[in-house]
Amino acid sequence: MGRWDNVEEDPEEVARIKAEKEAKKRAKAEKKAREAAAALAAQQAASQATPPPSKRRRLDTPSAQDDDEEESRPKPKIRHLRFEGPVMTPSRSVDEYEPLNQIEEGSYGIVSRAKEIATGEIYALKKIKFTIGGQGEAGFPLTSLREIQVLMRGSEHRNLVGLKEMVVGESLDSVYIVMPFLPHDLKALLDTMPEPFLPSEIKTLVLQLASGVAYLHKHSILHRDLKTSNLLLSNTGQLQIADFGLARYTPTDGSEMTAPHMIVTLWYRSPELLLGDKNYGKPLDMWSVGCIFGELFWKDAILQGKTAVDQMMKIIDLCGPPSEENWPGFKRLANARALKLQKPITSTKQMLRPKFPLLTNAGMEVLAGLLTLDPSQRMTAEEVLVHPYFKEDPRPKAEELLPTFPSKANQERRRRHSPGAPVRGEEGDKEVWKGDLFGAVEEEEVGAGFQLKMGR
Amino acid sequence: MVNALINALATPEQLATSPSQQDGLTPAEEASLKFAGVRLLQLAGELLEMPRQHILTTQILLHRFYLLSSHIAHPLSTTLPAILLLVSKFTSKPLSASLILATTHTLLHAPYPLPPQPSSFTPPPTPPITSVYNAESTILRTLNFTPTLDIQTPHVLALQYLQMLGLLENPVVAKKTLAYLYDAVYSPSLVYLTHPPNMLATAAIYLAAREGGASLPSGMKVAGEEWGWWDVFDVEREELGFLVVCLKGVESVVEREMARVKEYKGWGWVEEMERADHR
Repeated sequence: MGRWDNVEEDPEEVARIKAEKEAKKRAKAEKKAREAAAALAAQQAASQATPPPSKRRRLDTPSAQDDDEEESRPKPKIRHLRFEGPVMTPSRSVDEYEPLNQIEEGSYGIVSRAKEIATGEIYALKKIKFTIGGQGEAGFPLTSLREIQVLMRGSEHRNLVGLKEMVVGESLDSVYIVMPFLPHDLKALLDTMPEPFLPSEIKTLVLQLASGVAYLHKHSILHRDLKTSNLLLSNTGQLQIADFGLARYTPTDGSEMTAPHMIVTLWYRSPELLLGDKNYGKPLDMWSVGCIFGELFWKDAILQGKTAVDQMMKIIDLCGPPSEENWPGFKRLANARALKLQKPITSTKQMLRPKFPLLTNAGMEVLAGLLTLDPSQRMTAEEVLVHPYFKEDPRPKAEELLPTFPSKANQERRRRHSPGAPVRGEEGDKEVWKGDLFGAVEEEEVGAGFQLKMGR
Repeated sequence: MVNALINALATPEQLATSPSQQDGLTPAEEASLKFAGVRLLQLAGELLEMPRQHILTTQILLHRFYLLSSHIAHPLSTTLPAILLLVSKFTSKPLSASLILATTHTLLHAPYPLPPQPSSFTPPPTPPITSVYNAESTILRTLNFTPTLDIQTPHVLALQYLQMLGLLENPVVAKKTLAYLYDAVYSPSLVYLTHPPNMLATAAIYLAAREGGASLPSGMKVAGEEWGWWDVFDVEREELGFLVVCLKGVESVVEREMARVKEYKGWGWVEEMERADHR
């Protein structure tokens, strides 16, 4: 025990002297706490472990000749870098949130609006869909693990929806992702806004989109489902990319990616995916960005195919057919043989020109760059960000000056009164929140967030 | 790069209050169960052909989980396969849950050392696979869904340090450094929960260089202050000393714990210990 006392006392003594010298330095205080913890663990271990030789002898290095003077030696002022890691703690309970209304139900779970009781802040809660031990299930869904992984990264960039926290209900299969709540998605906005966005506004949106995508790509993450309904907009004009349910890290070991026909919503799916390329990568997201760019001008998706073949035909109608000149090697892709193609008579840029009369020449370079058939020649997110198009007049509008809109997700009442909208509001609300998770649903909460912001 | 320096570490309160001991286990029993868990993860991981780095991740995950949970409430028989399943999901080759369960289950009940004809041994019926899925969910919510996402193993860092010290070309030192880091997970001081990666790497290099007969830079005076080479890696002399003792202590711990396994001719005592009525 005596020897272990030595180990235990030494760091404490050191820490005490240090504390006197640098009492106000927070970092040092933390260190002391950790050393105490380490000593404690050592003490526990000491009760069973054969005490190893004292540390004094172990430290008998060339530079430690001043060992004997240790106590009296003035403490060096060397500043050691210390990082505070996250604290290990269980997930909080979903009861910390008060349910409001359901926003949507996607293939990967149900998204609802909820208020954090402690702060009154509004968040989006997404319930993870899974059945423990169900047929063909392999435990906690891999897609959700990946989504959580990417969302954690997302918290580091302002144009990506981040993860606030994970919360859980009582039963093992009630698990929720808590994300910031943004009132709009671009798809709903485009559907309902009376006038399309101005070119200056489109620039602001596309820059934010490209900035988020650039961050993902820089960290080897493919989104794989970019589309206007996955782009959220705050009331202050901040765009955030959401729904990382299909996202994944690009493999570093050269393994093949998932079946190309299984990813990306059809209208935003790139030609190389449609042709069955298994070595796809970042360019697939950039094609989707190009589709979104065009959609912002048209107020409607630019390539609305009904089947994969139809989608490819729509692409050829808009951008011209692929050829060995504009896309070397495309014929080797699995589905390319079935295509009966004519020779392209003109470039993609010239094909697109008449369909986007409002776009300047620089803007056309960006659009044609993104809608380039050959993925290896397609414009990257970084290239978009530095393109002169965003420097020429009209300049990108300041985010705060973007128009504000009544929120579809925020306002249950508006949805119910609008003629074309699906009437799933009330029933859906009870459906989501029933059971032991949230207790009773308060009726007045439905539509409580209603505020007419039109005309602001 | 900064990420490689940061790990979630246990707070002093967490280290002071052991859920297993609150459930009645003695400190020695808890240490034995932790050893069994770490050792069995290694054996199972090797049988399942997991990369060494991923096995270490499972072992650190085990320490993290039992920092916050009790061995009595969460037996190794389901925790071990759940941890392996979880970590394998983050790799490019996720393993089948039933294969993992069969592996850990067999190991737990197989005689030690394995008979020359392993086929002659029949383990008791395998627990239902749902128990593994439940344990997986429990681990996820206990660690707030961050397992494996933020476990930083110190190996790459150690190689970078070795390079800076001019020791990367010395195969003995490099090998010993990595070995010390892998073995450190057996330390009952739970060094992977108490010290960040840069400190573990530095301590392993210190020992490996001494034992490999390689010389390390001597101290130098900078602006009137005495610097050791470890200061460059943001490690204080006292921290280095503590870790060196811990890493050197691993060998005797392993010997003592393996003696129990040999005495019992296997790991059968694990379930007994977990089931034991301590209250």
